[in-house]
Amino acid sequence: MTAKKVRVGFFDFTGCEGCQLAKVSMENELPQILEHIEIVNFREAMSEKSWDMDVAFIEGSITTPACVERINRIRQAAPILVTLGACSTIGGINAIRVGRDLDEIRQEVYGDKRYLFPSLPVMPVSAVVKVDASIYGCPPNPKDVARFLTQFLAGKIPQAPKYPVCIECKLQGNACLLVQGIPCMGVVTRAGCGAWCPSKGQFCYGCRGLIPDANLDALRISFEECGLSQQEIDNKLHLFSGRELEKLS
Amino acid sequence: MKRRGLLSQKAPLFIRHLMNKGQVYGPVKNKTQMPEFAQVDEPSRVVLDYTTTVLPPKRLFQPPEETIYHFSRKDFTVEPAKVSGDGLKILVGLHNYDAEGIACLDYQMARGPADEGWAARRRNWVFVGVSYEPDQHHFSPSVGIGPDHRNGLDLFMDKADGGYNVELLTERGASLLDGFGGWSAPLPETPAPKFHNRLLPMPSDLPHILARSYEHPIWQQEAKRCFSCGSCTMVCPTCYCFDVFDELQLDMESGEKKRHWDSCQVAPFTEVAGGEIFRKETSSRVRHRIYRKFKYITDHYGRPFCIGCGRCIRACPAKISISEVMNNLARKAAG
Repeated sequence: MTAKKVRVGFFDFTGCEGCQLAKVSMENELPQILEHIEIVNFREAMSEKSWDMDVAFIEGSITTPACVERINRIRQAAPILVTLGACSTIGGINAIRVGRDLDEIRQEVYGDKRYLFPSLPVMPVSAVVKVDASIYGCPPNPKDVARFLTQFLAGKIPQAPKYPVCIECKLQGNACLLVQGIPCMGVVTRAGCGAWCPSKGQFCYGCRGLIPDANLDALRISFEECGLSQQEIDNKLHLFSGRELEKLS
Repeated sequence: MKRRGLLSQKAPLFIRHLMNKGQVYGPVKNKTQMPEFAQVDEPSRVVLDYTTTVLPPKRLFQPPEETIYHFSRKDFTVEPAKVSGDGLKILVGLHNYDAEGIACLDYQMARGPADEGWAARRRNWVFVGVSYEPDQHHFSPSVGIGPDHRNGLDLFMDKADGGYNVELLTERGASLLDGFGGWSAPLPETPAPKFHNRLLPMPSDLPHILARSYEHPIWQQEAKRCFSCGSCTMVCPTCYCFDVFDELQLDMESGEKKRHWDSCQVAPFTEVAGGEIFRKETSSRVRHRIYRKFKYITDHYGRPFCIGCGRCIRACPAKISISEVMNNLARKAAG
């Protein structure tokens, strides 16, 4: 279509920047995507930047007072704000520190220079500003990113699935890992990845976060039967969903 | 009924013979070494001795994901997706319950406006059954599909001492054997398989038991451990629900209207515009599945809409068992 290109900015907060790299590595799709969008702000891939944009994609979670200030500035500049990846969408791996004392963590990381590094409890972007849509996953699945972009460019606000990974796992014809005693998080984890990990025999890490009304009591029983200790179960649950669990408790 | 002996070592030759007659499908080892219904490219890859498959053979007639039509947003055209040719297709290694599962869906897919994809893919098939050794979950005889059941099959390979006795059940099946010279005399029969799981009630009693169990506490009890993951329905040979969606190409001009299997066990299945979910409680979804198998459709189909394959039991990460639920309800109804 010949419509005006959508002006897009990419912004990184606290995260590994893997989401942005995952996007840059969509080599086959990028030329076609760039027919429709113009990237005006992307630290990872350009030096000239603009704040005049239609959409902001946010990667990384909110962890410092400076993050809060910056995300508010982006929100004011961007008519549409989309979170990209687990950290910005659900808090992500950074949320493993949920439930621990912040001063203790600052001491552990920065030592006696900790007073130079103010810190906040880890938050997904939606805890600070309004989020219009989200791309889940650590990292986001390129197919899912393409699905999001095409729907978005067609004028829809794309919705992520609310059902668990099992649906996509069974579409692939996979035998259930959890039934085989392998502690797979797929039963409580939001789909959309196409059962990326379990289709390769690797249990789901839960990187897309919990489905609404996830049956965590049943999950604990299943994981115990897999031979996991309470601590190991907690660790698995908190790996990506620390923030969501905090909300539930 | 005519029977011919087939030694085990001749079975690949027999499958090779069938491959000269038409496209052959059957349980072949997939990338994880599990048997899965797919097209056969090499007779030695067919697994005739298997417990069951993860996905039922319905995947050949209603693929897990399929394109309904292609569309163009540029010139506003719609092109229905092509379903592969009308040549003869032969499904080998089908367990007798799976043939009944296909019969269930033949019935249901033809009701009301017929499902075109199903009808197109179901044309021109010959079914070659094979006997099986039940595991702890099969309960097919309890829903009227005992070891001697041959409904819907054209040929049947009955496991015997040293090979199979091939039964000629229909003209269509018998005609496939023309030109094959690998027969032996009928082989000594092996004892009938023992089943380790069963339903306590008679098949005809199942709908009556459910008719008085709608408010039973069992649904709440099962819901406590249910993940609402949908695995039970995804692997069910008589489930057929799907979700329809659009997939646009990145050129933003061409795209496909697609559908993939969906499950009544996941909460968003019944979510409608405005966010209302009319089977919001897990217990209501657990109950719904079992009523679909033994009451709602059974009331007009005349027999259980469950074939006792046990796939849902094997696939359930919460160890929910449809046979156990029905037996508990039957015991409580009797007591």
